[in-house]
Amino acid sequence: MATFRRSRNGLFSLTLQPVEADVLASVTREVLELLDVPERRVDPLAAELGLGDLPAFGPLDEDGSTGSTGSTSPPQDEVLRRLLPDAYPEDPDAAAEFRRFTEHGLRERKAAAARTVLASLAPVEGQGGRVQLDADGARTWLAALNDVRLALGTRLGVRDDDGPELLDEDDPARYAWAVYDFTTHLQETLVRSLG
Amino acid sequence: MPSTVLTAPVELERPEADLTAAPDTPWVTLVWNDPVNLMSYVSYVFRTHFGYSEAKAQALMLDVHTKGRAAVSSGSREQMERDVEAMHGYGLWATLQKDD
Repeated sequence: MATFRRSRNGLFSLTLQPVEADVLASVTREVLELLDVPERRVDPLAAELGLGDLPAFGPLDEDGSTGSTGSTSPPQDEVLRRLLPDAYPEDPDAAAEFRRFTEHGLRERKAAAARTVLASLAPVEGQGGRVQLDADGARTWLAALNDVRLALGTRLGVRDDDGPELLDEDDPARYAWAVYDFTTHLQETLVRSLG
Repeated sequence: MPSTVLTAPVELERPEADLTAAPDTPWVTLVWNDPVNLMSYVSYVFRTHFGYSEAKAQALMLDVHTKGRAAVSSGSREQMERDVEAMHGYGLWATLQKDD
């Protein structure tokens, strides 16, 4: 499995098989879409992973926006709620104020990190190859990988320190778990490389 | 946090009592346990964002993991809001509240 290593020149390097590059780009793109256009699209992450039959997203806000700017209420989507949690769980008014001033910026920063990952993957998509990151790039990847894992983990219903239950050969969740484990391995080896 | 990726913690010294809020700093940032975030990553975030030592970051991370949450910083409400926003940026599940 592709593993992050720190090379002598101080760069962080990762050699991806074609399928690994494609899967990583695909899940990152889906998180990016979720961040940019929340609440009303068909969930591309769940669709890609074959985890269909998820509840539909709610309606647009009254002003017709998708709620990405200055929103005061928690996102309806469970992944976005995990990526953008309430800061004051016992004080709805304070939580709404905090969200109004921070959520848009958080979404933008998370989206920017996802775009950085996609830009570094662009040369290796479809063919595999080596990705090299400087320290800034490595830190950005680390946060973006975490968002991807939070998204996958939320969709899979990761609850505790357990792995998947025994799944049938043709259960689409097997693939999702494999992707989750892959991104876990990438993040674990990257954080160790950063030291 | 998944314990399967836990590297065996060495004997740790407990952090000093500097998390005890002073009378004029009555707010705390709490980080909550989460089944997805890696222990190594949570510890890395505590070192990176707060500048904590390896030992202190590890101890706080283990508090989060075993007790379900830990107070990771204290100070004014505005400072804690900045810390919480930063933790959300890293993907950690953080909240703030008055220290009681």
